[in-house]
Amino acid sequence: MSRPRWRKIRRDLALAWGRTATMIVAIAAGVTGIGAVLSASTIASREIAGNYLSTVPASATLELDRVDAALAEQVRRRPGIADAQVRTTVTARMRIGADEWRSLILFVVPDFDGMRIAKFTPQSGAWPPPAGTMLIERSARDMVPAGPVEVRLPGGQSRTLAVSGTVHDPGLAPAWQERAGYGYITPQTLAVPLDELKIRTEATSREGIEHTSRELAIWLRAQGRQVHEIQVPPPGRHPHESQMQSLMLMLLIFALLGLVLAAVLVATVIGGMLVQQFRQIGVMKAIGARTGQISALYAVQVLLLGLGAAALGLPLGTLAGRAYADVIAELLNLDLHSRAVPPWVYGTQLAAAVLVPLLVAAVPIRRAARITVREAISDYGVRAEAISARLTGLSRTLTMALRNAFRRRARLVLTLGLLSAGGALFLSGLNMAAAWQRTMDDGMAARHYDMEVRLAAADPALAERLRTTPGVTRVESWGHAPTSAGDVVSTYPDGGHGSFSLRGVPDDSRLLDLPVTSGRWLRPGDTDAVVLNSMAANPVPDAKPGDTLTLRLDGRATTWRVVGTVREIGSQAAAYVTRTAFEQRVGPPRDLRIATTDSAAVLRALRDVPVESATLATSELREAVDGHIFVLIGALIALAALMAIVGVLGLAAATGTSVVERTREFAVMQAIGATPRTVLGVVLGETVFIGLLSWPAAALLALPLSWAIGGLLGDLAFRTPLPLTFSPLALALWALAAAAGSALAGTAPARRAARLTIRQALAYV
Amino acid sequence: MPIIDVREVTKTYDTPQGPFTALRAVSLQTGPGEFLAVVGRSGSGKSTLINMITGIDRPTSGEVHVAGAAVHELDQRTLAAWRGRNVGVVFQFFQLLPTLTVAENIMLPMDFCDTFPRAERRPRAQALLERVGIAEQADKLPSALSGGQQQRAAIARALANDPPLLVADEPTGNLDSDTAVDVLKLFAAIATAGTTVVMVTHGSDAAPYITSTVELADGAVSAHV
Repeated sequence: MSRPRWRKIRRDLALAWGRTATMIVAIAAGVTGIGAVLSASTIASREIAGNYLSTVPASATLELDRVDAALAEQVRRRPGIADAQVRTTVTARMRIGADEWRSLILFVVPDFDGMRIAKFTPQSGAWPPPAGTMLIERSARDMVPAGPVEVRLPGGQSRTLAVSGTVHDPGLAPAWQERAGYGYITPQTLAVPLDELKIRTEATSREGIEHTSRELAIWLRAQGRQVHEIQVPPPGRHPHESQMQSLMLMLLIFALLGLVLAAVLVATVIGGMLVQQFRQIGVMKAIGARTGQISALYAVQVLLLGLGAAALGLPLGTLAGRAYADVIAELLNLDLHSRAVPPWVYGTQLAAAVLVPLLVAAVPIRRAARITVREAISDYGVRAEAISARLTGLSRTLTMALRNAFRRRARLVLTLGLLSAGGALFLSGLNMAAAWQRTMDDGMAARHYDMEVRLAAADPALAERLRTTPGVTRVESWGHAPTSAGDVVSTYPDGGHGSFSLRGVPDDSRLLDLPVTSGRWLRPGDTDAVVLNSMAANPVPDAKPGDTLTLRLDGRATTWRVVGTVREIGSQAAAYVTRTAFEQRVGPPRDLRIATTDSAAVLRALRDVPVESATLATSELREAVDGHIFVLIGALIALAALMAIVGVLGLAAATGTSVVERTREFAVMQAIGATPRTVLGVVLGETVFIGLLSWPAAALLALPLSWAIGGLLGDLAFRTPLPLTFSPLALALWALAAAAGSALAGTAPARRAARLTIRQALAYV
Repeated sequence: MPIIDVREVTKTYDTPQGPFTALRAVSLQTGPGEFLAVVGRSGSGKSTLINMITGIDRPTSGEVHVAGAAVHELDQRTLAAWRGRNVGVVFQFFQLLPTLTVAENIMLPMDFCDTFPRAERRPRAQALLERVGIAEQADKLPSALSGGQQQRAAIARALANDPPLLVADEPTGNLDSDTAVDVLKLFAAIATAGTTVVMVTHGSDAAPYITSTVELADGAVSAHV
């Protein structure tokens, strides 16, 4: 840095310290965003996989009539099988209030010390849990009441279990999100027949695992066993892994847009600085500088900015990323064994900080460096411009402010673009939150029932009795049966994720009102018609009206005709058929859907009835689904705020540039009688005008952006796009932010302009 | 061999009002060590002629040979390097770079053209400043200097690469008359030392110092004495 030209750079940067700082902060913001998302994503992806695989999840689970250790031992020696163990899962209910119950999934493990598949690790309490006690998953801690818990088994009998400790089972989706408790017990606590065979196969691909499982099922049947279901969840993937990764991808896209925004800001500001230096460039060329030397001069300047931004953004991004990884870990019930960020993430951030601004600034640098001495020396900075001349009829100060905004049209376009893009991202973030809320509301509004009760056995008399319970306005009996499109299902051990069920709808049902997306809804008299909901796109992709669909019901293949699809939010995959058809193929319906204003009364009425599950459909579901996503929305809003900041910084920098450029002009204004206040008004008027212009532009830009992101996000979460939603709050907030931000952006340059004495300003070179 | 050999140069600009001829078949020859004044009214084509000589602008027709190079044929890149070594330019408004000290401004051409070993640049800048009489200002920023001092510094910068030709466009136009005379004396001394000096001026103060004068009127040479 000893040569005069490098000294020039250093001093130019120092002289324009305000804009230098702005640019560094803007790039740093972009780099922080990228860094945060990449670090969080790499940490979370590594740890989610590590946590899940550390449990040695079963490749497949076979539901049999019964199975014992000896059979498992035989299975273990079969070709293609790496290991096999026996276990059973009981979906019970635990009492959490006087008449309040919640699902409790009990995992019955014969040998706590010899677990080799679907392992979980002790956290507190005796291991194995003493008879009559259960260990609970740590994420269910807040859900399970302290002291002895009354547990009601599917048959209706009650047990009292004490909680004797906690375990960590990262193989399951967190209990609080599923609104179900997870308990771990020995067969001594609950003597139920063991009916689950968990296997690890040598094959690791889904096809391989399914093949091995089918072969095994054939062999098991030959041994005289019944195989009810084969469950093969996506191999090696945590129930929330693909969801998490897609969301990370989306955050990354947002962060990348932020970086581009920052880079454009740098290009704008550098462009402005270059315009200001036109004459100097001319002089340097006149004394022998070549175009390449001039380009290098300014490229190094941008490089330095990038390095400065990297120095700021790298640690901040890592910090934010680790913090976000912590939040994700908490959410997904993971232990972060390491919070190390891989070197390539730092490399990417550094490259992004240095290369992206350089690439974008290359255009104005090239243009300025190629200017000839003659052009540079004869540049007066005032150009013919026609648009703003039409702005008339306003006060002189305001007219001047508005016309000024149009003076450098390219810069106006860039500044406006910058601010609008920042605003659009901000709006899109909030729009997503609103669209999410609306989708949830619509989804909930489609359910006109408040409770869903699954009885152990059909009981028409009970339905009659409930109708007379105070508060109950309607009771309908619905059919419900687990189903699958093939002989293998992709259900996870919690029984919820990846599940698919057949629902028998009463002809006169008034409790569910789903928007039809193709074909039609069921009609009374339909015997083989089926309507698929949004999530059914998972088990039966590409099914459309007119297709024939084979669904397995307890091992039997049944044939249906798809007549329509509906949009349903917050429900696992379901195939709707008429109740008549359901009764013909499955049996009497056991589900009661109840509309009531007093669910406690219903629960009291159900006190002595054998119930498999009773859910407060609307409220519990909302908690469960919201729990899945608020972390994403929060991150989107954080990134959106970052974008808005970059946009406002861009305006501040551009205003700074144009004020510096017009220093002499302000002096002339003051020489002919303008007060400092007039100058302040002109500059502020100009920035606020641009800020206001950006509002409709941002709103317009947010339209396609929200649509695209909503499509991606909706498909991820619900297999149906989120409706295009405009958050009025967001629009108002952005109007406020644009006006306040632009006023703020203009304040410093405006003050500087107003403070200049005429002599200083006229002497300005 | 002349340092400047301008042959039949014509320059026409396209303006919104139609083509405007700034120079009409101008020819001019100047030898080493001359101090040439280019005079004429405003708009007579003085600056255009100077721009032809320095390669800042290109003739529409005709040839320009300066210090042995066919300036009208050089491309921008070659021109920049050539100009840096062969022509020192002095502007009316001095045009020192505001963020560099006076000495650094003078070292800049050596830096860009890589003309002198790095260790020699600072002593050379100091020597040039002594020659123009403002050695004590070396480490100040241009804004701290008076107009006359700034113009001396600009002249020192023009001499940085020891060019055979120094071109000045109204170098005294922005100076008071005493200072202007000092600057003219400085140019005369430089010419005497062997560097050809071409100066655009519209005053007659220069008369005692110059060796010849070209007068332009409406883009053509009206007198050459």
